[in-house]
Amino acid sequence: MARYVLNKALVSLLILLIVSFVAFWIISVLPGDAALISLGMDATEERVAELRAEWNLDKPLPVRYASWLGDILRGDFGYSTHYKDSCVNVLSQRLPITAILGAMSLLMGVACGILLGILAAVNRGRIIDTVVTFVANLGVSLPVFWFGILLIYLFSVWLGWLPVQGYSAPSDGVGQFLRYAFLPCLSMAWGSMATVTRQTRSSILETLHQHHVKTARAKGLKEHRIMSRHILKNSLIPVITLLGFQVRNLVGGSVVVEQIYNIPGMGRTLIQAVNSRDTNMVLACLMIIAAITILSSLLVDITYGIVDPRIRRGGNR
Amino acid sequence: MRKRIALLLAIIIASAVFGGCSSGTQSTSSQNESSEPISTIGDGSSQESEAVEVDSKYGGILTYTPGVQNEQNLGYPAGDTNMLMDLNASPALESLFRLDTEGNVVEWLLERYEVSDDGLSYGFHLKPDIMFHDGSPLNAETVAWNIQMCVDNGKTQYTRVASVVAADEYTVTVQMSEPDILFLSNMAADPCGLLISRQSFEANGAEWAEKNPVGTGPFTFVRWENDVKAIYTRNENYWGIDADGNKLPYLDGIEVVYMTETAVIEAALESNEVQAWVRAGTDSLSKFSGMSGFSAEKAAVPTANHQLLACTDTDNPAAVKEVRQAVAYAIDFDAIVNGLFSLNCVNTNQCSVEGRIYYNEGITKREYNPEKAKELLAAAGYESGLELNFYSENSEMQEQMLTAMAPYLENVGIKANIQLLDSGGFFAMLTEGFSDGFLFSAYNYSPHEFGKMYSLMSDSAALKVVNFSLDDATYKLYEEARSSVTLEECAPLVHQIQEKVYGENCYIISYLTQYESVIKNAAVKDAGFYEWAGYHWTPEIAYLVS
Repeated sequence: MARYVLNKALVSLLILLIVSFVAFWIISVLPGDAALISLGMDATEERVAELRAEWNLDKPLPVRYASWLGDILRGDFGYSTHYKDSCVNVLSQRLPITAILGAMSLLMGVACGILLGILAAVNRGRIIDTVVTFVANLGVSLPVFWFGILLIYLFSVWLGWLPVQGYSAPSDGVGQFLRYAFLPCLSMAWGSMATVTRQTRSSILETLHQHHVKTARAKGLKEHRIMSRHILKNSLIPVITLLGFQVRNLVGGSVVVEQIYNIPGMGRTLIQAVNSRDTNMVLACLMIIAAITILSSLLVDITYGIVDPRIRRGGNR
Repeated sequence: MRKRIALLLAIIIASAVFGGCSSGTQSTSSQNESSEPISTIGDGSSQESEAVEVDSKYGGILTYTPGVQNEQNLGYPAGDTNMLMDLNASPALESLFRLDTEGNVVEWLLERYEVSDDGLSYGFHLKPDIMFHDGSPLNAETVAWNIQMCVDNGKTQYTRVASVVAADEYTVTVQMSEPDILFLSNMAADPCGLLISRQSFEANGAEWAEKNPVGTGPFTFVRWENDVKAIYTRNENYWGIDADGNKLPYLDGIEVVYMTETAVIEAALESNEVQAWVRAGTDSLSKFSGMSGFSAEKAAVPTANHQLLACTDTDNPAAVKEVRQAVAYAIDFDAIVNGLFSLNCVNTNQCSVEGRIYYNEGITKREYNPEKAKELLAAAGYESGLELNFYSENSEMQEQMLTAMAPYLENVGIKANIQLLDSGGFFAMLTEGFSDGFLFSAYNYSPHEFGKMYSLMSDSAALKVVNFSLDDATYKLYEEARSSVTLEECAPLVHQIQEKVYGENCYIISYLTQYESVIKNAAVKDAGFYEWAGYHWTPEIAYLVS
């Protein structure tokens, strides 16, 4: 098992390194000069040149990449030309906001998704199944952006229950935090919930017809016991795979949701950094997103190895 | 049964989705049908003259959004600034002057000022007993230090300042190397004219100052989170009083919320989370202009010019005068502007609008004439047509304009290759990549149309558009105009520049002048957004009613 985990971890690190190079290269070749964008058209050429030198933008790409890589290995993501502060300082305030909203969304999406999936599966062919399946299909097909705007109009403008935009930290009061966090979390969770619902429903339906379930029934076990011990346990294995995907989707979705709801998280920071060609900040955000994505895949792989020994053995070959 | 339920669900969802869409559309169309023009600052003043008890003016927090999130400097006028700083730092920072809608400077922190007949020396006499938020006094030494810092930092607005000294506690004298008609208006309406506390700056440095505006304004700065929010609270020691002798400001505080998504800003306005949206877009202006409880107002003075700038310095079709003229004749700009942007824009053929001192009535006009355009193309050797690149920043307004223009160009045989770029790409195009075709550019007047023309197009422009240049005679005119002592002396020279640039040579095709707009909740009174030229407003007398 240890060797399996080590192999997976090494591959993950290699992928992260490749991602870092590709990201750095793409950002560097994009047209647009951070110094010029920061100064605007009223700046003198001398001032632009001075700022480019100050921010190391005048150095060749390989030199900048090597220097940047060395710095991030020491935990220094560099200076943000847009925020006029170190990237670590800015992200230390903004990443936790994305993380907490993401975690809440994941929890909301997975918990509701599993419950609704079970509900639909055990009521297959009935009204509940139709409603749940319909809502799940809607969740998969509605873009986050559109859904977010609809939620704002419904809950904030028409009903006046929740704020349109903004963020309140949990330290300023849990009630206030939940008021601000509910719509963004619902927007992000909606897609995950739909996917998990559909996956849970079809897994359960598939497991229902397997021999060990029929055997359990033949043995006269009670239905709730069959469901908890024999159906759910086996049905949720594919859902584990989905969890990895959902983490990635949530990180991506946070960019859109934070922009809509005016939340000062990492997603909004990334958009602003791209627009202002704040190379260091873009790279810092991309590396964090890549690390989260790769880490979630790694955790899924490890969990899979634990849950299903056949996979682990395959990894050892 | 299942089919019925599925059908019912589908109907509910569809009605919710399309209901959401249609609410905006319906209100827009109904407002378009209304013959009521958009309310203006002038109209609004009559509403605001309603009797309000003085006591009821006090209190409340005004939240507004400038609709963007790219602020980088709120408190260091000698640093790298943009025009939005004037708007968003106004609660805390003030200038010696304000610029009125006629382009005249009006004393603000000054009791009076004088200019020598040759325009080479200025004397500024400060109002006494004005304090910065940190408790330090506003005196001649501090004002001289502020101006000198801009000079030392190479601010192009102050390139003609030779020396600045504090003559006594409240008198500053400035000597110019040459007369400069832009000097006072820059001090009034450009961010470089804002004054900050020397004491706080020297204690904390420039980087701190960028994020912590310490001025003499009616509100003291509390907190600024870049891209998110700036918060100000009432300055209890503000120097200003109203006409009845009551202490200003009226409001308890001001919050600036940086937002980008149009639909979300509209929702925030409708739910009263923000009370004003400064720099609102045309579609939103249309939506809110007839809506109960809101006023949609446009600026008293034009604020930006939109134009097509030709690549003149490389071997490409746009460098040929006849081709540029053909493009101007080929498009019915008047119809497009009136059809799409009539609420806050007018079609114009130069960098000014009728009624302004810098407007040239006699400029060579090019009315829509596709036949003439074809003749000019043939004369330039393009009788079988040609392809032209049009580069633009990816904004809703530019996209609409380009979409409307393309068929007109197609009609005379010009295939328009439209390239929309993000802000970073567009800046790169302006300064490095522009090598053919036309560039869509929209420039805010700073401090007014001639100021912007000078800072962008003259030979002394800080940062020139690559591969774009004018003839030497026109460059000379720019310098002569700037060296004028009075507006009356300057205006005819600017008229000549308008003719050379936009008329005779058609280096630039001007098609639209925009008036910035603000959508306000009816509860907001006397905020004065766009009552002055530039981005100054009047936070000190703004108040909220129930």
